[in-house]
Amino acid sequence: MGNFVILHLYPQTLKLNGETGNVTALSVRAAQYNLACEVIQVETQQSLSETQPHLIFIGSGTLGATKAAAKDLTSKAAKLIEWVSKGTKVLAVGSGFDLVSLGLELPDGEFIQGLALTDTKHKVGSSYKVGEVVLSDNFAGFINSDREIVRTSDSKALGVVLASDEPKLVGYVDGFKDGSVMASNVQGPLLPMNPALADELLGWIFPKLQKPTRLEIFDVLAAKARNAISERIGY
Amino acid sequence: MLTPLAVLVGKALRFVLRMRGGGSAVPGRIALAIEPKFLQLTLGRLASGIFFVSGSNGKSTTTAMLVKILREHGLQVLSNPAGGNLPQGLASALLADVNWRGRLGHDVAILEVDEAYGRQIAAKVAPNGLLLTNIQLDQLNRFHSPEDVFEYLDDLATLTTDFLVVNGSDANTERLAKGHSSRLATFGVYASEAAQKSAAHGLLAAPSFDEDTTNLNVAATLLDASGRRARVEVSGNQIDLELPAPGLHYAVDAALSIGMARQILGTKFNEHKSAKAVSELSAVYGRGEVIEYRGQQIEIIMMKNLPSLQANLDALEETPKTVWISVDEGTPDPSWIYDIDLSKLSQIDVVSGTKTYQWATRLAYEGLPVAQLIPNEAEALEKFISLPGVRKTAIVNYEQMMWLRKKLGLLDLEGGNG
Repeated sequence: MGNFVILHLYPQTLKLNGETGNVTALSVRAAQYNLACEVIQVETQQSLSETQPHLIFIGSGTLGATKAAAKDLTSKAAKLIEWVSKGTKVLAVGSGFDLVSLGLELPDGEFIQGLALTDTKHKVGSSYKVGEVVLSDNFAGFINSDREIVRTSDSKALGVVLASDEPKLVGYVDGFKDGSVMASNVQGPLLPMNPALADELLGWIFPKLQKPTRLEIFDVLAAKARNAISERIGY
Repeated sequence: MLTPLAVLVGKALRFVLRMRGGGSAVPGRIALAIEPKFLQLTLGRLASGIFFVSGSNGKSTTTAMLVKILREHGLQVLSNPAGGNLPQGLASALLADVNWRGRLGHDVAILEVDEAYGRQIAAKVAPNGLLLTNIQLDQLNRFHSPEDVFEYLDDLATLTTDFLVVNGSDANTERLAKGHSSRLATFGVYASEAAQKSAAHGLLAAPSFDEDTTNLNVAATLLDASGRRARVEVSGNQIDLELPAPGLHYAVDAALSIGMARQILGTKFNEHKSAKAVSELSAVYGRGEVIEYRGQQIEIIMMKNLPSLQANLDALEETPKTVWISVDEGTPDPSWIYDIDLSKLSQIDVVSGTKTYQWATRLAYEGLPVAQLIPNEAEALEKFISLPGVRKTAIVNYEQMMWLRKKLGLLDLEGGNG
């Protein structure tokens, strides 16, 4: 594989709340690592290219958008799963997490099949949990989700909410991480706000990367943004 | 029987609070506490009916345009000022106009209503007609999804008695209207392809996966939009308009207000009076508004949500020279700023508010130079004012806009008939 190739699946259909920022962060950071980055966008009813990407990114959308993406995904699933088995990594945020999971159960009982790249099973719950969250010193953001996630164990979780302005979110076990797939319900700009996750993801793909000092400007600003969240919620 | 007491207490409270420059929704809340049927007992007596305006964006401007058009036709119109679109805000607005018995001296009411609360108001006073501007990505922390907003507005339409006028070029509002066409007269206001292309990002509607391509009955068509100019076709006649501020979104608002006025007025509708009314309208409170302060002109670009900010950026005719961004907790989650195309901006002079560093991170990834990060907005304002130049741009969320107006000496309050 040559350049750093990102496959951004359904960039218009699954574009709810700033998820594009994750692709922006990866592209900009890759450039700082002296990696030439190419982003391939594929919408519903468009074909996958023959180029195996280093990373597949799937963002978030409404339930209607998620259903539309899931319907389209059935024709792409075999190829995507094959790529992942051959080393392609995955980043999924919000309903993108649903689509790479074992599946999503809707309120009417309908079940949307996922790509089964995680061992989590998702369900649309009865109420939303909404608030700013801190999961660690290097991981903070905003959750706005009604998903209930059943997992075989918490060992592959991306993080656990330590503090939030929404009491129901404290203790919430978020996301998934296994060295191949990173997924989260900390929505929107997960990576710009949490560059350690961006670098960890890039490290899965390019293990020998040395972090350049010129990334500090981004990381200091993101750290201050996370600190502001911590101060607001008293963490 | 309680109405006189509700009116007297509410009016007294409103007078006191306005003298102090704040608390515009409180008198309405008190009046409703004293007389829970306050809205029914006041609005329910209007001879020519009650009409609601709702949707994600453009409510305030469209309502202001519609009111001006109807007044130009000689009607006595009651309306709620921009922002007074919750039950308590509406009650506050009514307190300015009712007599001590709770009677209004108007012919017709044109009310801007919140997407979620509109159905609560409609359950008390059913509107004769409903105008829906659009369904866009807005306040996800509150609404979670535009699909939820669709359901709220669908409930509101169910409570409407006579007709619907919707933005037909917004697939969601068009679909919503079609769902009520067996019971209500339903009309669409459409924007031509040329008009939609006049803005870099078009109409910015929320996604829809509806495959029905049939049109509604056409109430009006936006034929062209360019800067502050728009051309609308209604009843076979073309009207040229001067908009209160440049932008496709204002042109669509104008077409919607004309289409709605046509349905309210029927054969009394006059296109020349309508064009005159829209063309004479000033920018509505913080929407394309320019504030004069110490010899400087400060253009307010409200950062309400992704579509409104993008539409306002698309409408900029030149790159702003001096820019201040200020956002506070009124926008609990500004994640959507990563989906905004910021190519109309070349630099930012000051960033402030509690979301300073979230914005700064976004701007860093965009590669946009930022001169100063000053989280304290009062200090940031001082810095902004001290910068050279007389034409400046403030990109602010609603709460910062309200704060800024007060700091700049504009004490009229949204929702307070100011």
